[in-house]
Amino acid sequence: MQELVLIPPGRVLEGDATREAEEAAAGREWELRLTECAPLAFRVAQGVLRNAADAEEVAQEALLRAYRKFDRLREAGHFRSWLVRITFRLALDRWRAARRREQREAAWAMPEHRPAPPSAEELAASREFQGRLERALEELPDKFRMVVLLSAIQGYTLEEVSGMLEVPVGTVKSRLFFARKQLAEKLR
Amino acid sequence: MNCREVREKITESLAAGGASLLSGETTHVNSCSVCREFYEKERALFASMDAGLQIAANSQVPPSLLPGLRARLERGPGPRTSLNPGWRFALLAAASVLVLSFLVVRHLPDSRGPTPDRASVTPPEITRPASVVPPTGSGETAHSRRSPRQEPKRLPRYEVSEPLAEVIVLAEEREAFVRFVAKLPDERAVALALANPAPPRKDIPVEVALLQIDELHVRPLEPTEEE
Repeated sequence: MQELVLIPPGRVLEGDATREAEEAAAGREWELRLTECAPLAFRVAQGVLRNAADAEEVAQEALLRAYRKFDRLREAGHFRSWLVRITFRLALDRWRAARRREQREAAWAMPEHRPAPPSAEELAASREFQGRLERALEELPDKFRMVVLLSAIQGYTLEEVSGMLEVPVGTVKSRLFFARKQLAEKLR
Repeated sequence: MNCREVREKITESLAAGGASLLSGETTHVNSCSVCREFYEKERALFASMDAGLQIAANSQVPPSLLPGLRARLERGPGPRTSLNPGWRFALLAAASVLVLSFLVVRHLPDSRGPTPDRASVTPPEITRPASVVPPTGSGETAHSRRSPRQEPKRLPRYEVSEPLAEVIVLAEEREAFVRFVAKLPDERAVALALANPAPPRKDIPVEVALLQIDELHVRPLEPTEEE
């Protein structure tokens, strides 16, 4: 015989309550990771793309993907490491696609449609150096480029960078050394 | 240490993030004006590079980043959590039922009709002629004497992958067999003898006498001239 249990209004079943509590905890954890890691994702994307609008879009896309996989990424270190790698990959994909598009357009463009020469301000020494630096960065191998960017972001030590990339600290140091040497050669 | 080696050391030291040179290099830089100039240039270059990297890597995060992300999230489902225990149990139960039913279906004898690719061969039913039906005391037939609970016995069905070869049995042979079967209940001794296994035979050694040939003449098949 089936037993009937009366549930007073406003009271939820035990299973539902557990599930709701779990979802609430997941929501809180997500907000925490978002506040902590969203700027990092943006900066990684910006370091590759050099365009704030594109970087914002890429960072949002990476965070959305992280959100969809959040049940597997709840551990803080794992989340940050995963997010950095996925952001970098997405940013690189977009950067390469943009470069291909630019090259295609440049090849087809008529001489009169070429962009105007840079203004006097753009030719200022600091900007010129910054432009050269960014171009030099783009020419670096991906693994060097990522280490340079992450180690330049304020607030992250080499140990944290090694955690994000899941490589030993020694590897981070050696990659940073070769990257800086290559950058200096290109800028000299 | 010559100038080229010192310059390499200077670059490596600055690339490694070192603030100062080693004593040997410092001595050389202090004594060599060209290397000192190189060192100053390299230090300025690395300082500019570090400053540029700081600018490149620490750009201002746009305030629209998080609101934009939340707006995109609102369009989709909430964060995925692991399956709740109820669903997990239900999935496990469904999987178990599926596996069990599969095993039962595999091991049960086939109760369905014959499939087109598997021929079912049923031996032909033997109809007893009225004359050979054994007489019973109450006039009941063998079928009617069965207990009501007893299910009618099915004739064995042989399932074979290929149809059996047809055997032609003569009409008189069939009749003889039917008579034999009908007579079996009367001839209990014969029936028992047929039902029981044959007693084991004792092998008796047989002695074969040796063949003795007294005289043997070998003659050619065709007659010779001498004959």
